[in-house]
Amino acid sequence: MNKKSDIQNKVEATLNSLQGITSATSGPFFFTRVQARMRKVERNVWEKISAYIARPTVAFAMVGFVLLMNTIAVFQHTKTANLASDQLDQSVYEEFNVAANTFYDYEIKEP
Amino acid sequence: MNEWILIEQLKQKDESAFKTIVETWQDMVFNTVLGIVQNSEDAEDVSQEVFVQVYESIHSFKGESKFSTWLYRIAITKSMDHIRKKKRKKRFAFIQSLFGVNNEVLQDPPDFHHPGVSLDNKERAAVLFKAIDTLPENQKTAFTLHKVEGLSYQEVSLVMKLSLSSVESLLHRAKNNLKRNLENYYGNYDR
Repeated sequence: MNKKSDIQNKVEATLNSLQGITSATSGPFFFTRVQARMRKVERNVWEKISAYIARPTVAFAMVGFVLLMNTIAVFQHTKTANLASDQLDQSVYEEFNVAANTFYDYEIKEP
Repeated sequence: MNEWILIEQLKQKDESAFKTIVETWQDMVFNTVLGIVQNSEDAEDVSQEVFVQVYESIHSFKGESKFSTWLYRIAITKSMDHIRKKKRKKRFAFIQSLFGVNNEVLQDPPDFHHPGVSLDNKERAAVLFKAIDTLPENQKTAFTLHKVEGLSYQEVSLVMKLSLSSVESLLHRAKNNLKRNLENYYGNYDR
């Protein structure tokens, strides 16, 4: 019983230990240090951007993206080029009435 | 100088207005942050971050609350972010130590002695701060603002954007949790 009340007293005393607490003060030249930090933050923005770009994952992803875009562009170009050349051939045949003979035509013997 | 004139000048990025603002409120911010992070070097760092944030986001201050209330909010947010970051680092170091990657010994932080506590209450206050550190975030904030920074319930409610009854309830729960924690501490200590 005595022990319990002793604990209660200690708890109360501890809870009241912040009574009369005074405000803590920051160190001297605080403003100078804030200014230095602001300059550091400004410099850090560019450092962070360059560090982000230089990350292996980001760098590889960017190179991969560029290669992918190039591959897509090459395929697209080949496709349109083939189509254009087919169309050109067709128009040339039609213009000059070029017969596209196959070897079957040569086999046919006219009576 | 009038608070509002200073704020208007700071919005124009006036260096001398910023200096006046820092010098006027640096101790208030430092004391609040120190009560939450419970480490002088960390409190210094976080307080600097608070003022950098003030300089960068002064345009978002519309004057709907007092400037000091706005400052308290930034200080609390930054302090809580700092604590979360520290906890994350600690967890990561612990996981690393399990896999043998990091052989650094994980140590509990030393007792925190607030410089504003009288000498005869020093040891008890250190025990209390340790118990405060175990409280949930909002209880810790309310208790620190009321007991360490000396804000009234009304002021705490404005800073935390809560109703007066919510603050009363938070502080009541905080006290009960602290009591339970301290009873366990002294119960085990005396064994």
